[in-house]
Amino acid sequence: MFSFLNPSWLWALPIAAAPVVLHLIFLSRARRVLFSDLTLLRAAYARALPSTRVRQWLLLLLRTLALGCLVLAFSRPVLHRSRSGTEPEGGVRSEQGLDVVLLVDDSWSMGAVVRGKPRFDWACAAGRELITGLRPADRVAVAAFSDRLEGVLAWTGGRGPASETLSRFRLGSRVSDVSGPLAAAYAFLSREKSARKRIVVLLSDNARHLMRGLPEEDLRRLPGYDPEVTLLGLAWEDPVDNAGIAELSLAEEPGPGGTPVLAARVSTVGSGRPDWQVSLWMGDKRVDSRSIELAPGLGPPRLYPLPPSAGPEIWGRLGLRSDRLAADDDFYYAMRVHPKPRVLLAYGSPSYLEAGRGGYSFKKLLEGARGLPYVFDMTELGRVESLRLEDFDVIVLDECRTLPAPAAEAIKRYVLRGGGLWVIAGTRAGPETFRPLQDLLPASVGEMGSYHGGASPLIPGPGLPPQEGRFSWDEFELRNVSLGRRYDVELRPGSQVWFRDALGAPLLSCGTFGHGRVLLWASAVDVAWTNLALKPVFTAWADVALRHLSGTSDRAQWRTLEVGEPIVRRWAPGEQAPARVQVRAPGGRSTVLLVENREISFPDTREPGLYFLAPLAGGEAAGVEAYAVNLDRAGPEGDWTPVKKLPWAALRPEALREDFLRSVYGREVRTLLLGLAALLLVLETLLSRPRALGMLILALSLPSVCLGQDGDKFAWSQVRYTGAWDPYPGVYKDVLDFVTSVTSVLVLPERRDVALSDPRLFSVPFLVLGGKQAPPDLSEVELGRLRDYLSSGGFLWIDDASGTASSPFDKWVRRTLALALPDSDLKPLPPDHVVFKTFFLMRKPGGRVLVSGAVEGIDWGGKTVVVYTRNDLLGAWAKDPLGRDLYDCLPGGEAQRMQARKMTLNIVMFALTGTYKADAVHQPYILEKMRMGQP
Amino acid sequence: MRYLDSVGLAKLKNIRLRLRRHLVEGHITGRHRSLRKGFSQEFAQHRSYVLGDELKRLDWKVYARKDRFYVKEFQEEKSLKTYLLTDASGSMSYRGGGKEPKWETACRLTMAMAYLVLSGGDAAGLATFDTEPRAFLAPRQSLAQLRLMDEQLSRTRPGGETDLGGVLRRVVGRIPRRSMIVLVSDLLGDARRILDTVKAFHARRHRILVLQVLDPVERDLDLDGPVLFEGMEDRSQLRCEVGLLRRSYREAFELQQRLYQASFSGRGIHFGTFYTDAPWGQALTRFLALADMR
Repeated sequence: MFSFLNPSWLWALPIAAAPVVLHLIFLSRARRVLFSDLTLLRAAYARALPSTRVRQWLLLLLRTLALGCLVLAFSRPVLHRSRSGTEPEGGVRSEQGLDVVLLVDDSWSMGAVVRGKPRFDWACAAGRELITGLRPADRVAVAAFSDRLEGVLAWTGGRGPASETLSRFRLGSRVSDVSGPLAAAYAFLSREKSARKRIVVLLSDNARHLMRGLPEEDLRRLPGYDPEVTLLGLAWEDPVDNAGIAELSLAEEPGPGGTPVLAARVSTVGSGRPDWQVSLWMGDKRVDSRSIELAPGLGPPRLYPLPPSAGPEIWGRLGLRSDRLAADDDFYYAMRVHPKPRVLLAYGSPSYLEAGRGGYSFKKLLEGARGLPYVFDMTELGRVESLRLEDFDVIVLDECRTLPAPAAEAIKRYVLRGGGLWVIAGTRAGPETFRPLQDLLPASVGEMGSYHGGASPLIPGPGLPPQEGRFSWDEFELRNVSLGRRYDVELRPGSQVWFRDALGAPLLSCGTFGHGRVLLWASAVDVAWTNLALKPVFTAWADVALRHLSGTSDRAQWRTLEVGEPIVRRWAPGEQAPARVQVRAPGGRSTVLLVENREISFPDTREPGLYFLAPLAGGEAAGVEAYAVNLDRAGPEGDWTPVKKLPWAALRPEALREDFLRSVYGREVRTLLLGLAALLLVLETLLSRPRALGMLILALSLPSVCLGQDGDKFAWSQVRYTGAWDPYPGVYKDVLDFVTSVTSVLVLPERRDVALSDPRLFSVPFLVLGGKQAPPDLSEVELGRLRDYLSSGGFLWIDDASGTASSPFDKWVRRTLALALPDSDLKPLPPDHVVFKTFFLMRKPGGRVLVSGAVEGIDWGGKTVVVYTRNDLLGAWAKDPLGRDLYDCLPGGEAQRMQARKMTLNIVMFALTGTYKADAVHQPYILEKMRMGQP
Repeated sequence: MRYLDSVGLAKLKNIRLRLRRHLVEGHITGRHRSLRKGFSQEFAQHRSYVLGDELKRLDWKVYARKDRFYVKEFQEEKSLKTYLLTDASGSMSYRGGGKEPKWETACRLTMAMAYLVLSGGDAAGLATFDTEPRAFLAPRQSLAQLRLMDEQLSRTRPGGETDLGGVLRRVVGRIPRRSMIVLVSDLLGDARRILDTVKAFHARRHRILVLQVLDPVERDLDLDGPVLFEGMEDRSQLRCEVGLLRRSYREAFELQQRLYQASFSGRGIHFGTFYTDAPWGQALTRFLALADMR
């Protein structure tokens, strides 16, 4: 029913027994006190034993429970909630253990370094933590995924094997797409119809690109989606800044000297940066470094020209300064740059190079840095056979009269193998000149002819290849080109006419022979024959021809692939294919492949970087070829803007297990336990105070504390009025002492003084009124109250302290009593009145001054409610601070004083007991005593 | 003197011990007059009649002669012997919250009473006891007795157990009838036995004053925590948690005090409790004043 988030705290539960242990320890270590006598202690101990024992154990129990609750609260129990609604046996489900599927994202975006570690490591650590938090009854399956599930989902044998599997995962180079793996996970979980709780945990970076495979990014549309399965993910709160090179390609326009230029675009996610370093590497050297500004979004293409390279293989990388995610900061490139085609101009006349002649024009065109990008070489016809014609891509033959046979043979072989041949008829050619090359030429050269009636312009022919993307022939004013003379040519079948004259005769014809191509210019380039060389179209005309002949349409062969794409190399028929090649991967791995059908395919491009292909046996010395493999940047993998509404519950990394258990199981009851512990502690505090319960009840019943009803205790209450209402302040103490020592009456030690208008008047049953002077006259209200008081059972004793007959006090008393109780008179009490017998047997009242030998009183309702003594009884008690009597009693001396004391006691006892003594109960004994005679 | 210094003496000079009078006048409730019979009365003096005196005492012969009323006053035995019994058992050396151990206060009270008695012209003797009577000073009427008492008390060290009942029983024999006995003790122990013994004294017509000396802690038990009590006399032990015990201890104490009070006052034995944290002079004055009234 419970599981604990901090189960290690449960080991601290024995602390809850600490109060009991401490109690026992303290009891044994009680401090030793020497006490005079233990009898009373023993009696008290015996008396107190039961209740104190109970109280003691109750206190201990409360403390133990409080500590127990506290410890339990620290161990963070989670109450298993039972799911309401569709699953009434929810509680039962979780009891059987969980089925957990952990999916770890190993796409390259997980390499983003946050807080010092790549996200992948954080995800793996979270996965490990979750695994260790599982109970033995739980089953767990672990798999890595990118855009597909890497591996097969199967239940691992326990937590150990699961952790091990997890620790073997490595960051990959693929993109992430959660749809496939999730579908597989759902399918896996639904294979068994078990009553266990199923959970899928996605340890990924919650980026939007995860959802790209889902229709409308809605998880519910996933086939196999099961809402019963709890889907959990991790919560990340890190910034999403990332910059990466989105694309790199070869620029259209080559750089100066024909060197390739790279065009790169940088994409930035999050906040831009004003100043970011980007470096271009060629080979192993850095060749360019500059800072660029990063703005959010896809940046504009920037050009990075490459320096001239030694060989045809150019490879390297363009690197941004590393940021969080280093994987997309490098873009590798590899290309094969075709060298400039080598053109050989073979001429037959030594004066060919003079100004105005064709050679001069060609030389100007092809030589020098400003010329067309060809490597230009010239040679006399006689030396042709001594050269290696294979070194050249194009051979231009001009100004021949006769062709030496070995040269013709060499040329024939050359063209057969794939070379390009441009035959320019020249100024001295005849029908026999080109007979050895008869088979090659697209047209047979005939007699020289001329244009009658003027020159002919150059007219593009039907076979002229359009130069799309470069220029259009219409830009050149071909009409201005004029030809003076030409040769009659007869076109062979299969050849094309690139240029013709106004009469339709082919001027430049094109054909193929073997693997090579052949062009024939049925005229010359000399200025005497045509002004072509002087026109701007000459450059284009020559370039198009040479390009066609050299067979390079592209300057470079771009060899850049994506991760996962196999490297495929096919050897062209002209090349010599090796028997075996070795492929070296960026990590240093080497694989040897057999070449079949002049091609190889290397599929294992799982890492981005430069792969080098080297022929092992045979093959031309083409050297090592480089292939660049890059991460798939097509999708938004580098952009890990989080999904707006996560369709799964996010677990916080710092409170992983707690969130996990809470999502899976239910509520934490920690606060409840803490509240319970606090309540128990409060109870314990209340109970451990000595008069706890009593105090509690007292506190609760405070309003009901009433003055007069002190039950069994006699309270001396005196009437307070404005004036000298208290002639003998301390006398009451002595009176009370006497009362307690002589009788068994319990007294309240304090005196109460009550004014007549005080509402407490009716709570005091015994009132004393004393004074020397006349008090102020009572108001109507006070008289009424006095009347009520006396008629409802109160007793009033008035003692005249003036000590004289007919004092103002006496007059006031008579006046007031007459007003207060008009229907009763103040008259002397008879000698057998009970007040003389209530305790002592008295004959005379005594007092300080014997003013009158009688005691006066008022009867009301059958009993005496007022007793009035005029002898200053209270004055006889008065003492000085040392305890000696203050006044002498006259005339009786000490006897009189004694009588005064006894009389006081009698009056008090009368107020308390009424006519008890007058009743018949003890009459015989009283009579006996009276017979003995006491004064 | 150690226990009676000049300050104390000054206080005492103002007190008059008038207990003798009561024996003469007999204003005690419950006292039978028959006690008077057999009472050898020696004529001491005449004094003027005041209202309230017994007419029986009027000397008619003097009236006849002088035409004024005079009352005969009698003298009792030549001297009223007062025996001061001071408890010197181990419990008397306890000092809890008071200013001094109970023994010191008891000695002061003893000396004060001795002074009062001696200065009133009566004889005073001293006896200290624990399980049995230790020191004994026969009653003498001279004031020099004070010094002897003081020395005796200074020499005594309280210790040993109390067997008040047994001791008093033994002492009873040595005390002639109708003496005044002043018992200074803490009365801790078996209350029943003490009461029985005091009753026995009373039955022998002695005038008894009981001065109980206590320490405030013995009344309130304001200690704390778990305590192992060890008796000073018998070395027995009691382990308890004082907080839980306090209330019932106080009740038991209260009960005992009331028992004493009731029993003593019922027999006319003057009983006063003196706490070591209160000034003994005032307490003594009050006690005597109270005793005077009865």
